[in-house]
Amino acid sequence: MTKPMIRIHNTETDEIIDREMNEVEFAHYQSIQELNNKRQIEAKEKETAKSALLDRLGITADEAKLLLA
Amino acid sequence: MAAGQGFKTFATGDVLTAADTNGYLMQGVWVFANSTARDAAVTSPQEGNTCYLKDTDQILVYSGSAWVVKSGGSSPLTTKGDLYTYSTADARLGVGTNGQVLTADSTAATGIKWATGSSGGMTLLSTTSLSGSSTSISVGGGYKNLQIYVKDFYASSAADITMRINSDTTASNYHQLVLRAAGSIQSYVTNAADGFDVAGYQTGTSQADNFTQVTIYDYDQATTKKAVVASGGVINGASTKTSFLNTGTYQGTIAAVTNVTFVTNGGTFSAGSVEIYGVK
Repeated sequence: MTKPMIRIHNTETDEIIDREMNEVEFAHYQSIQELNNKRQIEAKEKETAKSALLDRLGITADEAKLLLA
Repeated sequence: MAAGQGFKTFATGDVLTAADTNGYLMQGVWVFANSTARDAAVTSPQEGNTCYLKDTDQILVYSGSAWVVKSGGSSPLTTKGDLYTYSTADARLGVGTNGQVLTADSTAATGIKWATGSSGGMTLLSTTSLSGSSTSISVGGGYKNLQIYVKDFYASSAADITMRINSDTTASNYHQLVLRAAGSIQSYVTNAADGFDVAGYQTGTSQADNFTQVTIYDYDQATTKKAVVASGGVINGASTKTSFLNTGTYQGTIAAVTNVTFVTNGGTFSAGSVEIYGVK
């Protein structure tokens, strides 16, 4: 499997290296991706639950904001 | 020596007294070889007495307590740009080098000196095109703050950009409050995964005007931890024009910042550049 590319710019020599992630970097990258995916799923679930609650109450999101203001 | 009496018009038949002689006739400008000769001759000078010293070409007037130079001293100036200054006597201050400014300095003999002014301003240290899923940039020292502009960026997936200090990926080292707003505050987070959350963006070339700026204060010192402030936003978002604000501290080490890494949390960078300025 091809690993994501990263860029390293040494501004002292102006040397630019484009290379694949090494194993350590890739492991960290994957863990971050999993964390982001988990957060996105949680955010989506929260949004779904919020919509369901609004439906049950029979009000819109704007009306809910007015109630809470 | 008698004090001067002012001016008197003598009439025919007037008797010229000693007091008239000392108070009127002797009140001209006395000429001496030097101050030693004067002080020997005039042992009790009176206010208003006037003398001329031949060695210094000076005219002096007795103030009541001291002889005060009034004019005639030879100028110490010799060279183009000289300034007439004073220490314990008249003195010249030669002109400084081009660009120097005159600076007060109590340790200098005359209290002033020519010195190089503080340059201030910003110096562009590097420009780097964003590429891959992360772009790491080395940072030179010698400045007070780092001002970083991330411009015209977008990526293959809608995501955020995270900035890491010195390649540190330890989440607990990045303390931050991130506000994201589009009309109203959409969300806030604290302590993002593995770096400072400095920008958000959507995908596609229409997002290419996205911009964020990051300031790292006192980045080159190794005595205290670093404070970071970032602000920017999605300028041409198709549905939202998101503003972005992050204020945080890097809690990893007190080491100087020698490297910053920009990471896209989704996809890879399609475009964008990072300009790093050193600020004096």
